[in-house]
Amino acid sequence: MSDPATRRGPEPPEEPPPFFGTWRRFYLVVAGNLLGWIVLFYLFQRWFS
Amino acid sequence: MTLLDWLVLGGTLAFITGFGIYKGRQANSLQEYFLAGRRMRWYSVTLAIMATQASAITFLSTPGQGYADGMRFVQMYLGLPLAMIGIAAVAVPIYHRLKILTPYEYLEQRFDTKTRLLTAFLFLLQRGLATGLTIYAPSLVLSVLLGWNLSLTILVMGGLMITYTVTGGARAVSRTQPQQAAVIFLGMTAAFVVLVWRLPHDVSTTGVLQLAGHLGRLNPIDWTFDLQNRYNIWSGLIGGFFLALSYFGTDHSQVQRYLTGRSVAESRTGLLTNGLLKVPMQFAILLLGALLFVFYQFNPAPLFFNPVETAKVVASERRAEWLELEGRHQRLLEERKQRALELARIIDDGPADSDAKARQALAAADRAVDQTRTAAARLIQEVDPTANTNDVNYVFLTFVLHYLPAGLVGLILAVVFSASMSSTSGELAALSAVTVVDGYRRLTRGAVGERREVAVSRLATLAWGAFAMFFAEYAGRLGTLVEAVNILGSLFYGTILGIFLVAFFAKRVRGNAVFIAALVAEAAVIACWLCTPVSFLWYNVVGCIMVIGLALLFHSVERYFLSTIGRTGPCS
Repeated sequence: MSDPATRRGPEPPEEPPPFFGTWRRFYLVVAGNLLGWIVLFYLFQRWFS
Repeated sequence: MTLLDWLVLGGTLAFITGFGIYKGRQANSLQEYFLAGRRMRWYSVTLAIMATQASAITFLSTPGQGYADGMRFVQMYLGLPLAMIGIAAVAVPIYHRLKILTPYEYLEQRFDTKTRLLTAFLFLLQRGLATGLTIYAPSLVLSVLLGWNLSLTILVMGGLMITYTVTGGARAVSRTQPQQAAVIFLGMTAAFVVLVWRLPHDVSTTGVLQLAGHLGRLNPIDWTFDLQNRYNIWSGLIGGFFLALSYFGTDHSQVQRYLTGRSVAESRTGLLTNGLLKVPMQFAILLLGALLFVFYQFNPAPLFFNPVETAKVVASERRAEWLELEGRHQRLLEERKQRALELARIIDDGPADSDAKARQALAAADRAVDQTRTAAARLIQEVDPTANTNDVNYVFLTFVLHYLPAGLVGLILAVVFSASMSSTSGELAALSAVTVVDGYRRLTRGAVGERREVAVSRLATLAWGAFAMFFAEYAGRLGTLVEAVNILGSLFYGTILGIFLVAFFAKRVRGNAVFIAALVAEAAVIACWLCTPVSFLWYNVVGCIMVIGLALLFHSVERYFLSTIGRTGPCS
């Protein structure tokens, strides 16, 4: 069977996200936020133990 | 519980249930019943996603996990934001474009019927059992509150959840989740504030946190790579990524939540916002548990947190031994309290490196308390060999019932019941959707009409509710609930995820190759669980990579044989 996701012709233009302008930037914000939490957790652990 | 607590609890639950039933009363089509007509905005989608994942287990068991094992459990969620990005970028546009009711429909269009049915079956098995765990948690609360037998409270809670879901469907679930989330946020914040307020006033906040650190409870990051260690940054980032990718990308109890979004952008934003909020939320709940551990350094704690098991021993002929243990426990608690105060004062006022002796003294006092608790657990088991000797799930509940002011106890219990209603009803709605769309509708080929299908969906909800209630009877023996539910998921999620990743990215692989690969991979994951000490988060990686690798291998073998037959001809 062929892939149904690509069977129905060209994709419609992407609707932009409500914040951060583009999806790419939104994804970077989510990844950066995770990195920030990891650093904060590490510092938190170092500081209090 | 005071009259005010009962009023707050009853009023909150009556409002949420009534509102849900009112909003969901006119669902006459499957789109309406299962996907709330696909009209939800991103913030409703976020709340629905978070509320479905955050069951009563989150609020009962996670603080207990922080209390007993510290904050390292938070690492399990570190892969989640990355998974949200992957799902938002790849899966959401596909699911929306195909206008499917369940993700397994896509597998039939992409592969074949047997692959769709196998994946749907794995989902139903795993989610049906996990729903038993989510029904068990609030039943446990009710059992402690009312002193009723646990089987009876499972029946009452299960009945309530089933009625709510059967009458409202996904529309009721989605419409009431914002209200439930508000109750949850308010209640947990209040519990946090009261806990901090009730800590000794002569110890500073820094002193309290350093005390928690000294006692090994502030350990959110562990850099060591060890396959047998359940929670370290690598198992969290890699194993947790695969777990979250499968849970949010292929488990219909979550896919159903974001398919209610009115567009790709609304669904995507809902998922990504969950990626921003989930890690800090879990951190806060675990910190609550870690602080609870410090709180019980200064305040009396019961010898055993489960009052039902305690009552059995007190009523037995070994009552005297129990009372003797309790007396010893109280003396050791007083000793530990003095050591904790001493260390806290040194942390606040003493010279930087004068605390080593005080730390050792506190650690020794803590070990002595632990030994008494172990002896108590042994005694409980001797009195009743079938007793549950893990009391971690009762730690936060005990704090709520004994230390929170009137009114707030009712609110926290409303949190537990709200969370349970939102997650259980979401799960039951998903189980029913898959049973009807991937099973019943497939068998009848859609010839019976939508009204009949909605009626069958309600029956399916009822049947899955009964199945989950049956399993809930055994849930108490599985240890920490929040771990049990994730271990159970990890047994199946890797395989399911592998099937979907092959569907998305390996365009040439066909149904037979992926079907056989999935069967072999699932057998390997179960063997891994039964025969190796590998930690559960890695099962997701093993299952997924095996499905992908084997599917590609079988596909190559299939192509080789087909080309050989093509060259030699069918009659040679």
